[in-house]
Amino acid sequence: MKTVTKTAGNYAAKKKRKDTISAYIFLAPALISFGLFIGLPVILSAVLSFFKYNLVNPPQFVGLENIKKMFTDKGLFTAFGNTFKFLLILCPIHCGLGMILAFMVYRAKRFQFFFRSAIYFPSIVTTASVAIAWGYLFSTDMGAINYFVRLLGGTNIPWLTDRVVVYVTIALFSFWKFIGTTFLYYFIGMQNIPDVYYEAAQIDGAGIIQTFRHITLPLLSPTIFFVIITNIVSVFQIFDEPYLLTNGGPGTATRTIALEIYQTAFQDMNIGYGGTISFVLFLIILVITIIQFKGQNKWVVYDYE
Amino acid sequence: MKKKVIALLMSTCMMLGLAAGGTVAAADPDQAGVKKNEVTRTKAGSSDVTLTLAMCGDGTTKESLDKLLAQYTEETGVKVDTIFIASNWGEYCTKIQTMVGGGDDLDCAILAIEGVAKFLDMGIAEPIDDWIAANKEISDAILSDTSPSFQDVFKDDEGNTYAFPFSFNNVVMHFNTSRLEEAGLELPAADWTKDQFLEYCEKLTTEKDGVKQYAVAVPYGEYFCAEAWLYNNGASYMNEDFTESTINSPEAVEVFQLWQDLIYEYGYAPIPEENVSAIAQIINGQVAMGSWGRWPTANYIADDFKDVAIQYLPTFTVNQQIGGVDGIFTLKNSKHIEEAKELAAWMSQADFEGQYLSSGNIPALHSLAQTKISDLGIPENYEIFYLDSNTDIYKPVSAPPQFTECSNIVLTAISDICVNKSDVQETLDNAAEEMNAVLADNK
Amino acid sequence: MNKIKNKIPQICLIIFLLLLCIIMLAPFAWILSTSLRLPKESFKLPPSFLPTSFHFENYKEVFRQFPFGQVIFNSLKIAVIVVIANTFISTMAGYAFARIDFKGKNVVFLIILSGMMIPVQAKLIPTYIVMSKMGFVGTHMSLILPAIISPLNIFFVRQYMKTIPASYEDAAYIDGAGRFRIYFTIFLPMSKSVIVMTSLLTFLASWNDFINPLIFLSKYERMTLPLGLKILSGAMGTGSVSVVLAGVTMSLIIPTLLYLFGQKHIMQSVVMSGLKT
Repeated sequence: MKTVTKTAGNYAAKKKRKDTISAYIFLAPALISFGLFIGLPVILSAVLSFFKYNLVNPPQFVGLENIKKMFTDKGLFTAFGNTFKFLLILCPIHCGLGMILAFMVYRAKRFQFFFRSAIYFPSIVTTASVAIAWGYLFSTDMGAINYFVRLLGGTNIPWLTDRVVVYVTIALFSFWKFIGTTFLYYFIGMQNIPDVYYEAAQIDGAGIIQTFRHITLPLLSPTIFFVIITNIVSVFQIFDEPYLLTNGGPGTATRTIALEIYQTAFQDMNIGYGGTISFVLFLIILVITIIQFKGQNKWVVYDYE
Repeated sequence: MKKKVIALLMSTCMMLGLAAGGTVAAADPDQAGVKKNEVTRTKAGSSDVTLTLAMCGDGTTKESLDKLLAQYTEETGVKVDTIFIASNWGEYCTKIQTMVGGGDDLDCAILAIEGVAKFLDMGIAEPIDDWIAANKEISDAILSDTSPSFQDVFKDDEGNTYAFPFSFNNVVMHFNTSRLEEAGLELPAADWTKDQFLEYCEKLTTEKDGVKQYAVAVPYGEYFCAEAWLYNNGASYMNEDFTESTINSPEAVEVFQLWQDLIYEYGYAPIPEENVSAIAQIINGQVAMGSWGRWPTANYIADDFKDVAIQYLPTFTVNQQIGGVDGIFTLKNSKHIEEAKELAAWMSQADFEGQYLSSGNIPALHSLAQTKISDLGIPENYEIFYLDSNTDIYKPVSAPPQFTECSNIVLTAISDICVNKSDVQETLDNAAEEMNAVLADNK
Repeated sequence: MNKIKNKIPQICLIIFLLLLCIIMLAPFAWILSTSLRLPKESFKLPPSFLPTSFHFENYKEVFRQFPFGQVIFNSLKIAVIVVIANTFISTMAGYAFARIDFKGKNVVFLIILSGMMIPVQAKLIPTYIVMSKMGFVGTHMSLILPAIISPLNIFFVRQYMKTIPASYEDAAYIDGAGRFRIYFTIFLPMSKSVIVMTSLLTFLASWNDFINPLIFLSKYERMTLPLGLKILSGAMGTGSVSVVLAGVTMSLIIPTLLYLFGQKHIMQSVVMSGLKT
């Protein structure tokens, strides 16, 4: 630290030191719990990568064996592939459709409260309970949805029993269940755009699409950025939907990394290898996030006030 | 300065990590010490002991089990908490291991043949030889009334015994008899063949109120029942010393191909679904046949369903019945190990077994099996479940120490073949390769 | 004429949204009306979206099959404790990041934010080991402790507190108030709407959590709602779907009440005003 000679400087330094102490007192509970329940687990999963461990018997050091195993593990490649498929399908749905929906409700002059509540409602109910209900609704022969399909002259759609259709089903479920969260973020973001911008646009004679393109979109960009980041992280951990609707099936069609980790670690009791996959998953998300942060300057507008 | 903060944070995390990692290795002797003390302590006054007992199943029988255990509490003063876990043995074993590994209280657990090798391999079960020696009269009564081949299942290589046989199952074809009547069919003969089976299927596939009624449910998600079909064609998942997979043998491929054809080629069977239970389907008549042991009788009784008959699975090349037996294990980690052994043995005796297994699995005690399965009233031809005291005719289901992994591989293959319509040979070749990698440790 | 023409897009929009909302709510109508059907008829076609029979026995059956009241109480207890601890931790940290200038601020903030990027599964195994060393496996503590820290909430609170004008703080300083008093008497009450929002999100995350209870809990009487429902669907799925759906219906009550109570605050909260990092 530099030596401060002037009294004013001295006072400032003193204040800063005092502030630093009080800041860390305020931060202490957060830092301790962060260290214990976030930091420590991440480090531990890296450490576990070098061990063979089944929770019951003492861990056994195996060097790079787990890491080597990853490169020949076909099941793992399938799981990564499936997770990326989910990423490609679900992110546009939530980040894109969520925004369009929010814009529509924002423009609607009537029933706004009803629309907001109806769209948001499914996202506050327990995933497990509604997934159970959806499993019955989507049943091929006895389900309500195929009943209507047959009524309209179609043949049974294999909602949960076809490796391609099942992605449509999960996308539908995910839209229904989780669109409310992104919708809400966007809606609040839109409400916070000052009216003057819209008034100006109206005076200029801009249509709805132009208004959306030139005012809403740029002014919403911080929200969009936030939604994309949180969405990618949540799709990478997609577990409830495939576990409850398909159990990773049919075959391995919807087995995601999260399911793979659960199965490796808690079914096969291969804790070390599960830790290796976990850590790699963490690294992938970290890299993707860093890239996004680096790229944000190109399109995210922060200061518009 | 910033760097210092990071360094400080990181090193704190490291320290904590190492501390946690370090205790992992040191934990075992510690725990053992604690356990010994507690055993001696609890022996003195065992009135406030509560044991935790894990059972496999969906909880249909929890009420009756708790009632019976209340009697036990009255007799001995030992309370028993029951937990029902999952509905297939693979998931069940997983949860038990996790509980034991995580230090959750668990004293006794039921365990079927599938998981025995795995438990012994991990060393989480406690031998009961000292209990047998100390309670000669009771143990002799159990051992003389159960099949020696079943008793062998619960012994390790050194001859230590871990549990008494509790209940068992073979796998037979269940028929919804009102569906048979509608189709004008009689129950097939015991030695019916694959061709006859297909004839039955054709006649049993109909339509009712615009909804298709199927002939048969394939053994989806059922490791045990699926292998029963393989046995009748001289095939199996793996060889007898569990060193190599035989799931892609021509005989096995034939059976898997048949399942696929039942669904897609002939339309006799529905595409199996994760959320639709085939037992529910046979009860409401949506399918006419399904292959299980005796456990669906518990559901039949619960749903007041009586139109059921059974027959052996159709013979492909042989008629080799499969068999699976379970027992109540005492876990090494138990804090009340003597009481736990006591409870496990109590449950393996005629009083409890007879009442608990009135429906569901077949009691392992011969004397009980004779009376209990006839007393239930369904199915009418109950004797197919249990002909005489000769249970040596059963070939045990493949149960390597890597059972959970193998079970996952098999069930994924079944799902791939029956739902995804994948090429049978190719899927099974892949499954065999995966299984061989898992089984390599046994050589 | 022109006026009506101008209204056409608006009318189409409203009709479209109305249809969409009906579809969004239809599964709930199906769940409710099927939960009131006779168990044997639960799968009978046509499906019903309006209650046609009123078989309230199903609801009793849920309680008979399962300690359902206990399960709801467990979920509620865990969620409430998590919300309280989490709010306490997030607001303290958020306050420090928003209002105090201190050494290492940016680095610490970035480290905490990076916690947002870590998926649940990556933490699952090591957390399990940490919990088992602490002896918490199988208890509610194993679900509460890891949930008390939420980087996202700290972020939200910080964003919000940054928008509170400095004049409030300065006045209190002149009165000789310390940091903690300022935090407690000024910032906490003024951040009500963001606290309601983070609390609601935290509550729902805890209430809906499935994977953690799946791994950590095993005893019936300690189970939480999502896990209990999954087990109920295993036990009753073989014939009595309507009983399962009765359980599902009951599981919806508390989130619904919470939403009705909290929605005003969520919508008013300007927390997202600037998602600057």
